Amino acid sequence: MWVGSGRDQANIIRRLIDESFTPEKNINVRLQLVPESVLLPATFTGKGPDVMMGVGNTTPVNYAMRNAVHDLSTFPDFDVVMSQFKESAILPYRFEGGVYAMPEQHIFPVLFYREDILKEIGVIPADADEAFWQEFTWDDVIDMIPELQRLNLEFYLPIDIVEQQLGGIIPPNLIYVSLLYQQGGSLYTEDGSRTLLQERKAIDTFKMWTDFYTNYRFTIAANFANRFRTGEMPIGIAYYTMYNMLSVFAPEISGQWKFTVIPGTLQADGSVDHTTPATGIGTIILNQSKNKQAAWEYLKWWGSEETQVQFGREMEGIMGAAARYPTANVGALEKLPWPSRDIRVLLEQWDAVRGIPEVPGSYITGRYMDNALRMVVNTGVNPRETLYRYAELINDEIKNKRKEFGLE
Amino acid sequence: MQLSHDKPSREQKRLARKIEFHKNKELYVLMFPYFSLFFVFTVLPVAVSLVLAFTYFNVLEMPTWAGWENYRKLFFEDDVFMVAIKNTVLFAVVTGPIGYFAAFLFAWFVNELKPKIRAVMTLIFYAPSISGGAYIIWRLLFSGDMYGYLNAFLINLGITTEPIQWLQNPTYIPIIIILVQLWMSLGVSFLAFVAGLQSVDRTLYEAAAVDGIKNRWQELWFITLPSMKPQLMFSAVIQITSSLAISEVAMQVAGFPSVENAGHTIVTHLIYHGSIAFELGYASAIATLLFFVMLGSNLLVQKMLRRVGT
Amino acid sequence: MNAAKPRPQKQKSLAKRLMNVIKPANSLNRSVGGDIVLLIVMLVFATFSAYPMVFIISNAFKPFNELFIFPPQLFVRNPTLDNFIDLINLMADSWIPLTRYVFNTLLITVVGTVGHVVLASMAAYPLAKHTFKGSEALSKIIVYSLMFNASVTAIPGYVIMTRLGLIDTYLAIILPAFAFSLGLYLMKNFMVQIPTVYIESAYIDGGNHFQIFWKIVMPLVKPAWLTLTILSFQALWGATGGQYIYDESLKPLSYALSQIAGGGIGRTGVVAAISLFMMTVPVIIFVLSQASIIQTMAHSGIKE
Repeated sequence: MWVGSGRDQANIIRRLIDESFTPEKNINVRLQLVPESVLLPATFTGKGPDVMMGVGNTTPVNYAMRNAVHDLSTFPDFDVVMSQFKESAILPYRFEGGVYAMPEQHIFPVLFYREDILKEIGVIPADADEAFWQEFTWDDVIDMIPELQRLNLEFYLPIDIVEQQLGGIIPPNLIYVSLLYQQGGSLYTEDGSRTLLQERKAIDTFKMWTDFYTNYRFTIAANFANRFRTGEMPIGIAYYTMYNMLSVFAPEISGQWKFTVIPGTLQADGSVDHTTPATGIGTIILNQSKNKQAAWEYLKWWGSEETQVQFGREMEGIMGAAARYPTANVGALEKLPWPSRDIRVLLEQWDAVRGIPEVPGSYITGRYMDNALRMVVNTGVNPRETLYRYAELINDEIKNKRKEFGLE
Repeated sequence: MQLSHDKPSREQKRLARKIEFHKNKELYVLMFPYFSLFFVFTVLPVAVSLVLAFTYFNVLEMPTWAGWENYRKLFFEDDVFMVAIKNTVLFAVVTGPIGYFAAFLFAWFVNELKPKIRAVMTLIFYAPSISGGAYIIWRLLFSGDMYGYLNAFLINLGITTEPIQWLQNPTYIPIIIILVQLWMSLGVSFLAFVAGLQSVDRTLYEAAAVDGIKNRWQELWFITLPSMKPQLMFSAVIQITSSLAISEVAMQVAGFPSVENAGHTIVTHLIYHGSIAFELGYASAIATLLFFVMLGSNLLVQKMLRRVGT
Repeated sequence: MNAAKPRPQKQKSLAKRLMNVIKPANSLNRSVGGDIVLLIVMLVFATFSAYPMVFIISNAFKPFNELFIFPPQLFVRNPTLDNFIDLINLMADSWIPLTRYVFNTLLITVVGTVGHVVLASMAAYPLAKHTFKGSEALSKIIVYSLMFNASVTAIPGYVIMTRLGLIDTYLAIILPAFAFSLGLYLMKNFMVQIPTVYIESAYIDGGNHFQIFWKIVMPLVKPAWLTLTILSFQALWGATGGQYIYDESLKPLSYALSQIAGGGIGRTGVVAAISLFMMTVPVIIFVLSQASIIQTMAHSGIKE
C-alpha cells in the first residue's frame, strides 16, 4: 500500500490503520510512503503496491487505458460506497463504462472577498448577505470593474503561472470552464471522442474570458494571497483551500473576509447558475494486485465518513487550519471544524460542481488552451479564430491517442 | 625479461605475449570491480534503451516491436520535434562556445587572484550547485507579476505601465533561456579550468619569458593552453553534452510545457514522451538520435582542439 | 620574473592599490581598466550566486506570516526558531527513530564514498598510465555512455535493479555510487601527470601493479582523492534513493526530510529549516576542505 503525499499523512494513516482497520477487518497492511512517480516503473516490474493513495486526477484513466488499474464498479457494493461522493468527483475516473478510482479529495473554487473593503468603498451593499451573492452574476462583475479600477483595486481571476507548470500537464483554466459550463456547454462530446471547443458556445465563452484580460485589463499574473491580504485584490476566485493559506498567512485580517459561491450566469428560467469545475485526488487499486478484495475493503474503510473525519481532524490537530482537509466524502466535510455559515456555502457551491472528464489525449487540452490564451493576450489576435485553430490541434491529438488504444 | 638482439623467435613471441598478459592481468583485476558495476548500471541501461527505440512501450504493458516506426514518425511527422531541434540548436550554438570561453576567461582571472580571494570566489561560483535554488531568482526577476523585479523596475521608471509576461511570451522566452543557461553553465567547467590552470608548471612561464615571449596572449596560446589540453578536452566534452541536452534551464524558466513550445528542446521533448505521454519507445529513439549527434560533435571539436598551441 | 623592488612610498592610484589587495604584486602586467571591468562582472555574479543562499538562510527563520510574502523578502523581520523546534518535534515523534535515518545516511555515505574512491582509483590507474588491449575502447565507452540521456535510461535502470533484487536495499544506492563517473575522471586526470619513470623503476625493482598502485601512485595523488572524497560525500549526502527505496527504516535522512514537504503549506516553515540544514553540511565541508586541499596541493608537488 503506497501513499504518495507526505510524512504527516503517512504517520496518521498508519496509526488509523493500526487502530481501526486491521483490528476490525483482520487484514494486515504495509503502508509505505512513496512518491507517485515511482508507481509507473514499479508497476511494470511487478514491485508495485496493491493500492496507491494520493494520485492526481489524470492518473486513473491513463492507467486504465493501459490495463493497469482495476475497475471498481465490478465490486458488488460499489454503488453504495460511491453514494458518499458527488458524481462530479467520480466523473474524472470514468472510462469506457468503468470507474477506476475512488475519490479522496475534491477541491473546487469559491469566491473570496474582503467584506470590509468592499463595503467601505460601496461596491457591494452594506447589507449584502448570502442571498446577494446568490444573485451575483458575471455581468455584476463587469459592472464592478470601473469602480474598483478607479481606486487601483482589482478582481482576481486565476491563471496558472510558470511555477505550477512543471508537472508537464496544464489543466484547462478553471474560470473558462466555469463560464462554459454555466452557458450549458461542455469540453468534450459524450463519448469523449473529440472536443466541443469549436462550438459556438465554447468560442463565445473564450472571447468573454479573454476580454477580461484584453479589454478590462485584468492582471494576468498575481499572487492572490498576498494581494488579498494587502487589499489590492479585495475580491477574487480561488480553490477553497486558499482558506487554509489565509488562516496562517494573514491572521490579522481574519474577521474581515468571507467566501461565497462564484459569480453565476442568469439562466432562461431566471435562476442563476453557479456551476464550476473541480480538481481532486483519488485512490486506485492496481491490476497486478493479488488481493483485490482486501484492497477494496481498505478503500471502503479509507473513504468512509468516519475515517475521513478522523484523518481530517488529526491533520488539523497537528498543523492547525493550514491543514484543513478537502475531503471528497460529503458527510465527512460537514463534520470538520468549519463554521456553520462556511459549511453551508461550501455545500451550496459543491452542489453546483461539475466534473471535467478525462479522455485519451486530454492532457493536451489545457496546454493548447493556455497557448491560445497567451497568443491572444500577448499579441492581440482574434480570440475566436485562435481557439478554433487550437481546437483542431486538440482534436487531432485525441484522435491519435484513441487510435493508439484501438478506440477509433 | 630477456631480450635477444636477433629477431624474436616464435617461442619468444609467445612468451612475450604471455608475459604481457600476465603483467596486464593485474591491471585487469584492478579495473574489474569498477567496470563491472559501471557496465551494469550505466552501459547496460543505454544498451537496453537503444533496443527500446525500436519498440512501442508505454511502461505499463510489455514492449511490442515497432521497427523503424519511431524514427519514421520522428523525422517525417513530428512537427514539435522540429521546433525542439530549432530551439536546441539555437541555444546550443549560442551558449556552448560562449559558455566555454567565459568559463575559461573567469578561471584565468580568478587564477591570478591571491589565494584567499580565489577560495572565496570559487565558493561563490560553486554555491548555486549546492543551494540549488538559483532558478527562483530568475523567475522572480522575470516574473509576469507586477511586483516581479524587472517589471517593477520598468514600471517604476515609467518605461512601461503594464507588467510584461516575460516567461509566457514566446518572443522573450528564448533570449531569457539563453541568458540563464550561460549563467548556469559556468559551474563545472569553471572549476575544471581553475584546477587546470593551477596545475600548469610555473617554470614553463619563466622559461618562456626568457625565450622571448612578450605579451600574455602568446603565453596563453603557446604555454598555458597546451599544458591544459586534457582539461580543455574534458570541459569541451562536458560543454557539448550539456549544451545539446539543455532542458533543466528551459523547464525551470519557461515552464513545462512552455508556451508555444518556445522553450522546448530535444531533451524536454524526450521527457515529454517518456513520462507524460507514456511513450518510452519513442523517447528512446529521440535519445538515441541525440546521442549520435553528441558523438559527432564531440569528435569534431576534439579534432579542432588537437590543433591548439600549434 | 623578479619580484618588484621595494619602492619609495609614492602616491599609487586607488585602482592600483585596490588591485594590489586582491592580486599578488608580482602578477603579470595587464590593463587596469580591463581588470576593473572583470571585477565588476565578478561582483555581479557573486551577488547572483549568493542570493539563493541568503534566501535559504533567512527563510528558515521566518514565521508563517512572512513565509508566503510575494515578492519574497530577502531578510526576515521577526526571526523565530519555531521552524527548527517544529522540525525537531516532528522527527522526535517519528515511528522510525531519527537516529535510524542518520545511521542510514552515514552508512550509505561512508561505504559509498570509500568504495567509490578506492574502486575508481583502482580503475583509473591502468587507464592513466598503461596502454593495453582494450584501453582505448574502454575509455571511449565510458565517455560515450555518459552522454546518453539519463531520463530515458532511468526505466531500464529500474528494471535492472529489480532483476538484481536490489530494490529496497542499501545496495541500490551504494553500488551505483561505486561506479560514479566523477571519480574515474578526476583520478585519471591526476594520475596521468605522474612521471612514468616512477612506475617503471618500481616495476623493474620487482613490484607488481597492486603494490605500485597502493604504495606509489595513491600517495602521489593525495589531493585528488581527498577532493574526490569530499565531492563524493556531498553527492551521497543529498542522495535520496527515492526511486528504489520504499521501506521506511532504510531511508536516508535526506529522503525522510524531503517527504515532510508533502504535509502541505502547514509544513512550509519546517521545509525551510530542512533546506538550511541540508545545505549547511556540504557547505561547511566544502569550506573546511578548501583550505586543506590547497595546502596539500601546495606541498605535495610532483618533483622530478
